[in-house]
Amino acid sequence: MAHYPIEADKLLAAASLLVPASPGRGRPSYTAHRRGVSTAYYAVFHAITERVVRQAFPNADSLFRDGVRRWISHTDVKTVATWLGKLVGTLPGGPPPHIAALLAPTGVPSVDADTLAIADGFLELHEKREQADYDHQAVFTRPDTLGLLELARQTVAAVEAAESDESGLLFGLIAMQARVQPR
Amino acid sequence: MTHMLEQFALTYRDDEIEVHRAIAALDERRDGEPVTRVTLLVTDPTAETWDVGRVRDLRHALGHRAAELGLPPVSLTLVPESEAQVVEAFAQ
Repeated sequence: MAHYPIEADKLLAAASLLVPASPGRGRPSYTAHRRGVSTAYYAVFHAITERVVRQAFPNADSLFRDGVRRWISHTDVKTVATWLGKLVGTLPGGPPPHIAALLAPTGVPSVDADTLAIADGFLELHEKREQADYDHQAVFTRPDTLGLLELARQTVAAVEAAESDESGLLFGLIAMQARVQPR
Repeated sequence: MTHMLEQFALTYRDDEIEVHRAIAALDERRDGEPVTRVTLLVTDPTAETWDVGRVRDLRHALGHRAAELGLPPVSLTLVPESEAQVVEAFAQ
């Protein structure tokens, strides 16, 4: 079976081609900015799914891992990332009580900064990807777009370097959210 | 309540991001979830873009203020002065 894995660093490179740091004469079109933001989001999404399946199936080969990666939905990641944001207060409100009891049994949440940055970066880019792909009123200025691409780079780097217990919980809970699909 | 969020944005202080004008409007995401869209006219960044951490802090501050005001979650857009013309309300 042909195997062409979706790789986060290649997606980040593609986003940078769409929104180059040094654009030369003129500026990239706002359509290019939209595609750049969407591509940067997918870099983060696929970096996370890669870590999730590697944690869930550490001994499986890459064909197996890439096969089950597509079972992880955007909503699966968004749900868990939102729990973390609400738990530590970067998002208003609180997670469901049973989730709070799991993640902060003493009532005092303890989540490392890198794991929080992964959750927060994903949520911000998820929101912006929706706008980039579907919102005709959305504005993507050049510095704002470059900022989102930098956010994606930092988030992918944090995902790939994550080793903390809390990041393990993040990836594990995302795996628990996913459902087996027909293919 | 959106005007109170706009006032909050105008009083936000950061060494790098100075807010000159603010627009907050209620909207819905594609999935039907309510959202407060906040568009800020800010000083151009000194580099290619603003510091990611500073933008994150601004976004969190707006989100918490929005929650205090009973507004839905915030989606933030930054418009540098050099591109003010792309937002009709800022172009005048």
